[in-house]
Amino acid sequence: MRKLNKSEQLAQMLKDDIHDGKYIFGSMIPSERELSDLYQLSRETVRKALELLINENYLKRSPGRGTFVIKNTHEDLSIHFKGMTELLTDAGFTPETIIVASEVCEAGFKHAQIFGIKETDKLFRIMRLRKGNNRSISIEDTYIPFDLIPNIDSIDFQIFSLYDILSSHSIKIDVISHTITTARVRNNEAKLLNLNDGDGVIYIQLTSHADTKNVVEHTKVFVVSDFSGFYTDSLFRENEVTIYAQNN
Amino acid sequence: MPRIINLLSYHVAESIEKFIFENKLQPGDKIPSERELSQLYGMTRVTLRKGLQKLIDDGIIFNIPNNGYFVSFPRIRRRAESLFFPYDDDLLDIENYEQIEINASNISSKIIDQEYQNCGFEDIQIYSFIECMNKVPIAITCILVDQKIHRKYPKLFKGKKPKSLIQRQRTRVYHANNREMELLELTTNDSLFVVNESISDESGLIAVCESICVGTRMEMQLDINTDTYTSKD
Repeated sequence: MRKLNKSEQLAQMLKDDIHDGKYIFGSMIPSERELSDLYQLSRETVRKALELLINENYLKRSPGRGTFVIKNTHEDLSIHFKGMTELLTDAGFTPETIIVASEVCEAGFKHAQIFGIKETDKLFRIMRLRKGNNRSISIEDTYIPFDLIPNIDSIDFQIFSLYDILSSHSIKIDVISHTITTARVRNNEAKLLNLNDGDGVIYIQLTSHADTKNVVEHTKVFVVSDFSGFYTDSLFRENEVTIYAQNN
Repeated sequence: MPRIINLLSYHVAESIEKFIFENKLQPGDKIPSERELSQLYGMTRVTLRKGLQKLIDDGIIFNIPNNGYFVSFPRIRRRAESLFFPYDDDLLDIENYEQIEINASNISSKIIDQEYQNCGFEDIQIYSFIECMNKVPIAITCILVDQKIHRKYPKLFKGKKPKSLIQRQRTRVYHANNREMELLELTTNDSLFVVNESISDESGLIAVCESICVGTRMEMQLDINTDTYTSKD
């Protein structure tokens, strides 16, 4: 067997670290410079090692932010509820996620009721615009308890599906409740969705429960009518309810 | 952290909602005037109005011109899988539910325009009715069935949903015409969605249904159990 060169050796070490849980799914690995200092290797060797791991889908570069672990080692936990990026890709769209706002905020009275927490407890909020082939699809306004996932504010949600992040932290969603109705959008929301002021949209509120009772996620979605099927098209048979994300 | 969107109208809307909750205002109650609210929260009326408009758009309050803002009635919640089977919907308070038959020619139904020709039913029967909750219209519903199906499923749509049915449902935004606006007693505050459902059993298609729903008055609940799905995969 051929002896591994230096970058292949480093790649193997980093792989082991990922499998051992030193670098968990969704986390950022040290920079090229830090790795080169740590292992006393040239920047060029480190770069080649990272490229190997990117090609093997262990890592992904997010320009301007860093390099992230995308290998989910919790194979048994990878849930079968697809995120929107995957659904759109499967339907032949080139998906794009734009983060329009994110903040760590106090729950306030409404979310305190939804999550069963105190008004002053912290929530992580992320508002994302979904696009497919450059057409606006939806605005998703998501709230997650801030202490549910360590360093949640450093996760790049343009890369990771929320469901994958939750499953990689052993949080298993068992029920997702949807309420489906309509709302109207105006001002910035209308502009982002490429709609006119006051146009109607399908308005969905999703509440994800883990261990049957704990609310781990609450999302409000405004979706353009033409694309609402990705969220709401459903199939009912023999007491089983499934939606697009499970059937496609 | 990135901030492309201004969240001010969201924060104003939340403050007003909190005011409604803490002061125990009931559906139909008037909320304080723009002038009073802008003094209470120390904000301009322009800012305040954006928050009020957001609450109207989300269906939390409604506006009567030259009169003021009022707390909306909570949306009637119905199970998505029982939308066309109201007598088999555990969320619906059936005591206060009512169907008022209307002539199908009153509505611009996709079912009557398109499906009538394409469904392949031998003996077509059309039901069309307005659905009301506490005398308030919440939907116009139209169901197209094959008459002969009644032998197999007596009182279909009037009782328990047979277990053998397979339903495919889709939901889109809807724009009502003037006649529908009148039948549903809509104002400019309201918005609508349309639900289309095809129902089959092992013999094939047995019914097509359409419901034009007032989004500001009702919502559908759809509970997905991810466990059942995973275990079957």
